[in-house]
Formats: sequence, structure tokens, C-alpha cells
Amino acid sequence: MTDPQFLAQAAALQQQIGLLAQSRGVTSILDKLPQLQDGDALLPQTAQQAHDQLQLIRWDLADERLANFFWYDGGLVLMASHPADDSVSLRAYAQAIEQLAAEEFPQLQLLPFGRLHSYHQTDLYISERKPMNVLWTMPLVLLFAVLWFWRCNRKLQRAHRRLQPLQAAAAICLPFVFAYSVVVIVMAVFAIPLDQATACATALGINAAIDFDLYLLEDFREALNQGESADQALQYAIGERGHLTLLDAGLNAICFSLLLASSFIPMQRLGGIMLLLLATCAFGALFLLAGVLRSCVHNSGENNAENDAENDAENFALASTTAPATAAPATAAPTTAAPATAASTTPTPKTATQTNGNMLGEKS
Amino acid sequence: MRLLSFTTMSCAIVLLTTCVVQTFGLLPTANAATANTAEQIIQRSWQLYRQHTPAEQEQITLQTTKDGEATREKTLLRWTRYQTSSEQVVIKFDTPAADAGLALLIDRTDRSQQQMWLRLPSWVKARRVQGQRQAQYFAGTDFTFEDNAELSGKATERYNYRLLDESKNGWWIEATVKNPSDSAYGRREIWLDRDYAITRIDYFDRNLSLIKTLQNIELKKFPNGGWRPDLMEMRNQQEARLTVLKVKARQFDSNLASQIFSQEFLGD
Repeated sequence: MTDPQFLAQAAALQQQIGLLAQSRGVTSILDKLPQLQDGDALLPQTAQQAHDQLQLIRWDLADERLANFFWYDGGLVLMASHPADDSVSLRAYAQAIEQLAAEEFPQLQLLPFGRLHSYHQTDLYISERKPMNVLWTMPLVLLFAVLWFWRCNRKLQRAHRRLQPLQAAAAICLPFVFAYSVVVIVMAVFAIPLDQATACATALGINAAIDFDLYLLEDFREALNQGESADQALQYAIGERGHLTLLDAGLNAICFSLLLASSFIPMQRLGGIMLLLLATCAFGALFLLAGVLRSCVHNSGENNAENDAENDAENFALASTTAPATAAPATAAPTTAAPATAASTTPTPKTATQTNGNMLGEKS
Repeated sequence: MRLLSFTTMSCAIVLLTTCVVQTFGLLPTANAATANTAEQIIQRSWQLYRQHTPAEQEQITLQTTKDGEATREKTLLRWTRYQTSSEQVVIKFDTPAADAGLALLIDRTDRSQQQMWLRLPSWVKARRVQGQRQAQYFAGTDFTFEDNAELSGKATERYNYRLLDESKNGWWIEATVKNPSDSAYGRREIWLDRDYAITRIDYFDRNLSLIKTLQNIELKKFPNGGWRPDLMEMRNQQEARLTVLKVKARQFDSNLASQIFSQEFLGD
């Protein structure tokens, strides 16, 4: 540390870093040495001079740890600052410094450290692996959704209509594939970098999208289990329960919109991307998912004829204005007992359940 | 006859009472300086310290140990010359090589105008140590410039003293500086033994938090009442550091050349 040649080279490196276009300011203990120097020279000319000056500074600093922060026996600390509002830019700046030191000051060993330096390194790790991470998320979501629907179907052996596990799982993925596509396009158009801040939006986006999808699919599946047709189940899931998805999206959006007020630009970007993700996920769940749900329904083979008859009777019941709805349960009490119980414990629409019970009573 | 008996008995009772009281330490001993104020005790201490010799030269080894770090050792020479109520001190380092020639002159000829001059080995001439720098640690030790000035004598007129406790072992005195700008410390607590030798000093900052403790471990006492510490330990609680100052050799010499106590000598 007290080698005058080393100090001169470190000072030259500091000056060169300061000349980089991205530099805001570069400081070190070397800035203080000229103030203590005897004569005209700016830096110590001998090891003794360097030792004396550094020792004097060390005595002046009340806290020895502070002195150790500026220099130690093996070298000194250059503090370079860069007006970055994203870690990609910070990474470019750090690389420029490392390249400069390697090319023009090979005698010096540069050891980048500090929170900002590790920030862009972890950022590189995260952002480079993020696309692969997202791609891997899709099959995992698909797999877990398939298992989930398969398990649900096993519990409902007597249901006439069921969701086909694979198709339903694929349908779940559709909204966030759509949402991510929109986000990628927006990021490309507005040149928003993929960094640590924006990368974490994907995880939050997946959570939000799957939440919305599961609400919708569960309502849809539940209605199917109650014997509703695909259209009726869709009507129930979207028309009557869809507002919950909108409410969820709205509440989430309010929470994440607070990030827009952050003075830290990456946080602002995260807030903006989250709002976009929530909006597109809600749109995807309520429109795209709803559009493909019918094709995910499987009608059980043994009940097909009954289902068709049921549908016919249903159509008839819906069309009929003369049949008294209250008369049927009295004549068909034993057979309507089960559906009536189910209706009383599930949130399915009362009108649909009553129609169903009426039809079964007429059949018996 | 009756009168004589009464007088004799009275004397006997008084004598007996006095013996009992003295035996159990209920009254101070004759040399305990009961009438002394705290300031007088401190003054007496430094008077005894100084009366032994007009000048001296000490060869000192200085070790600094910080938690988790290797011990650093330095050697130095210290010359002190005492005048009626003032002193001059020169400290000059021998080793390590990087510190060889590092020197400090403390001129307290006029204590109200105390001057300190520092010369680092690479400096052409000594520079005056002023103001706040006197409160800083000197030469990587736990002794500040101010501490170094007061190792050989205290300017008692600058302090208010208060006796905190007195026992058969000695005195415990608090010293607070009259003018806060004169010292970096908010308070000192000084322990003295019955021979007026200072055994320990606790240094407190201006928030009255303990900074460090100086202990004079190996006290050498001289027949005429003089005293010198041969081993001093300054334990710095705030910095978790210990400085041990050991006097390897001491030479009392009334003929120390006056040129030693000069700025020029610092550069020689």
C-alpha cells in the first residue's frame, strides 16, 4: 500500500475510471494525500512519505474501522459511482471498469466488491435464467393442475360431466401465456430491461393468474358437478362469480400501484408491470379461459343418454311456462332428496337446482 | 485523693476510647490527610512525582493489541524535564523502521499555552498539533496527544475535583475539566493509593460513557515519596484494544541538554 508506484497507478486508474462516459464520480483515499504532501508533488514519492501520510489520516479518523474501509495493507478502495436506474446499466459500467483495468493496468489487481457489485451479478444470474424459469413453470403448472383435476374427478364418480384434466390444465396456462406475451411486447417496445426488479414480476404474475384461473375453474367444475350443462356452468362461473376475479385483480392492483410512487425507478417499473400483468391475467381468465372451457368438459359415457334426455327435459322445463314447479317435489320426494341436499350445501344457483330437481321428478 | 482518682480515670477512658476508635479505623490515621481536599490530594501526588528528579530519560516498549489481530510492538525514548510547575516532554520512536524518527515535543512551560509539535519521519520539519487533533490517538496507541501530555503532570488548575470515596487503600477522585474545550473527556475518575501514587484512571467521553481505563501496574516507590509506573496498561473499551507501555530502563539525569526539548531535535 505504501509503494509509491502502486499509488501512482491506482491514481491513474481512478482518473481513467472518472473519464468513462457512465461515471458520475470516483473517489479514494488518494484524493486526500496531496493535501498532506510536502512540496509540489501530488502523491507520495517515497514509501516513508506514503506511510506517514496514511498514518496521519488514520490518527485523524476517530474510528479505526473507518480507516480500514478506505485502505488496508494490501491495497486501497476506489469508490466509483454511476447514475444507474437499472442493474443492466450498472453491469455494463462494472464491466467497463474491469475491462479498463485489465487492458491498461495489468499490474493492478482489481477486486470488485460491495452491494452494488453483487447486485448486478445476482441480477445477471436471475435475469439470464428467468426465461428458462418461466418456460419451466408452464409444464409444472400443467402437471400440478392435471393431478389436481384428476384427483377431483376421482372423488366425483357419479358426476355426469367432468373437466378433462389435461385440457383443463392447459386452459389454466392460457391466461398467463397471454399475459406474458403482452408484457414481453410492452417491455420490448418501451425498452424496459429484464433485471432483478422486473424479473420478480413473473413469479407474482404466475400467482395472480393461477389464482384467477382456479377461482373460475373451481366455480365451473362445481357447477358441472351439480349437473349443470357446460353453458350453465359457464354462466354461473362468469356471470355470477366472475366479479370475484375482478375484485381480486382490483385489490391486487391497488396494492401494487403503490410501487408506482417509489422514487426507485426499478420499483416503479415493477409496479407498472404488475398492473399490466394483473389486467392481462384477469382478461385472460375471464375471456380466453372462458372461451376454451366448454371444450374441456367430458360427458361420462354411461350417462350420455340420460344426459341428453336431461338436457332435453331441461330445455323443455326452461321453455315451459305452465308446469307448476312446486307440484313436482311432492310426487318425487325420494328421488329428489339427494339433489335437494346437495343444493342446500353448495353455492350453485337456486334456479338451476330447482329446475334440475323438477326434471328428475318428472322422469321418475 | 478522690480528685486524683477521677482525673486518672478520665484520662484512662479517653486513652482507651482513642485506642478502640483507631484500632477499628473509625478515625483516619494521622497521615491520611483528612483535611485535604480532592484537589490537594492530586496536587500532592504530582508534587511527589516531580520532586524526585529534575529530568529523566526512559526507554519504553509499547505493545498494541486489538481483538483478533497480531500484537504490534514499538520502542521509543522519552525525555522529560521538570520545572517548578511545568514540564517539557520529548518522545521519539526507534522501531519499527517505518516509525523510526516519529517524534513529539510537548512543551508545557506555560500550561495555559501548552504546545505540541509533531514530526513524522518524512516531514522536513515539525508541525504544530492544534485543536481537535490533540484529542486523537497518537502513533496507533490508545494514548491521545492529550494523554501523553498528562502522563508526566496534570494541570490541576484546569479541573474541578471531587472526592468520591476514601478508604484505608486510598482515594477515589473525580476530575471534570472546567472549560470543556480544554479536554476531549467529559470526566476522569482517578484512584490513588495511600502513598499518593495514581493506580488507575477511568476516562469518560462527554456523554459520560467509559472510553478506556489506564492502570499503573508496576509502581515503583522512592524513599523520598516519589513514584513511577513501570508498566502501564491502557484498555480501550470502545475500540476493544489494549496498549501496554513498559519502561525497560529509566535514567534520572539532571543534565539533560536543553537542545533535546526543541523542535530541531525532533528532526535529528
